[in-house]
Amino acid sequence: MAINKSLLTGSTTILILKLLDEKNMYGYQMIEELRKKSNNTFELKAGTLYPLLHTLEQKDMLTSYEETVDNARVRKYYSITKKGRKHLNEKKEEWETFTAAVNAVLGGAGFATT
Amino acid sequence: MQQPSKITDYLEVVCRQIRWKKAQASVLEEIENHIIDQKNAFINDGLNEEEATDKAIAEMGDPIVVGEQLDRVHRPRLVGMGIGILLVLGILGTADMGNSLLRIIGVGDQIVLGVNIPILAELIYLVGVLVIISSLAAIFAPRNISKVIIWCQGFILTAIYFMEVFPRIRFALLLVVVNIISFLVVYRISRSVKTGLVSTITSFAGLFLFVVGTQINCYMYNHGVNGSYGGFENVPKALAIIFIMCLGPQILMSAFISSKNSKEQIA
Repeated sequence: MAINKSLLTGSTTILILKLLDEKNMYGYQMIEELRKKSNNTFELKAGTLYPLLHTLEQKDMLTSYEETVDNARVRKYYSITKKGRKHLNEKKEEWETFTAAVNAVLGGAGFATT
Repeated sequence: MQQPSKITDYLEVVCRQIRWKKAQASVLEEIENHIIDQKNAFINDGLNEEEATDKAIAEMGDPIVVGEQLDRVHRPRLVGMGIGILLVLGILGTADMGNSLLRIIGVGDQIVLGVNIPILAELIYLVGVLVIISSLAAIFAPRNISKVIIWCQGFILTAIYFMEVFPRIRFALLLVVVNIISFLVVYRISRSVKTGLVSTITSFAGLFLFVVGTQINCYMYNHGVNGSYGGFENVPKALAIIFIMCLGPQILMSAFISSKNSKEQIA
């Protein structure tokens, strides 16, 4: 299912933080993981991902380290920091309030049946 | 081989958008790794090498857009250096006590090529401010507004110069008006209150550093001539006056604009 882009931009940060909350990952892995977890709904573009990762790193929500894998290629892994976890929890609450409100407006309990 | 060169071409374009050289290498390596991962995944899916490369590059998105976004994240931290240079210029340029260091080293003489230029030392300081702020604007500001910010800064500094030459209330008002106009112009173009405040904040900082420079100068003079430690007692008063002239009206206006905007969003 294709989803409007503006809905996605605000939530990408919390999706990334959530992924990294589970384990440390490199960029390509995050995109794959996100696609799998969302049943192909989130086709995150690499061109959006990296600027976002670097911004989060500058805000101290993520840290990165390099690891050499198989044939001498260096991979940049990201891991979440304490500050990042705090931000994730805040944003999660915000998101839950927001979606609950939208669902209420769209038709309350009846929404699920339409 | 053709495939690696396609990737290299892509990276080249991304690289050109990133203005801070130091950030380039690590960023490009990460992107290159990503394209290779993506390509290998496509090859596993059954595509041939060339198709896989093309598709992996396409997945990455427009190199100019990607590069510009990365450029926005990776910027050198020059602000501290700029303020330092301004303070030094301020100390050198202030001449109230008649002991401007610039004049001592021969630059502060008010007659240049036979033309009498009032408060030349201050003028040198203001030109220094303009140069530094313009370069900061060229590095940091989004491309569509960096020129406007430089122009506004020019007008504000001209107004400051007039105020210094003719210390009368109407020139102080001129500075206030020019500041407000700059704020409105930049706000109209950028649609962002924060960006609109940039030129007024920098002019505020410029004038403030100038005052601090003057006071440091007075302090050195006092200390050297009569051994007292006076010199900084006027700073709070000066700060308040500069705030009213450069920042006060714009902060009120931006508060008004934001409250209006948030009301519109709710309605």
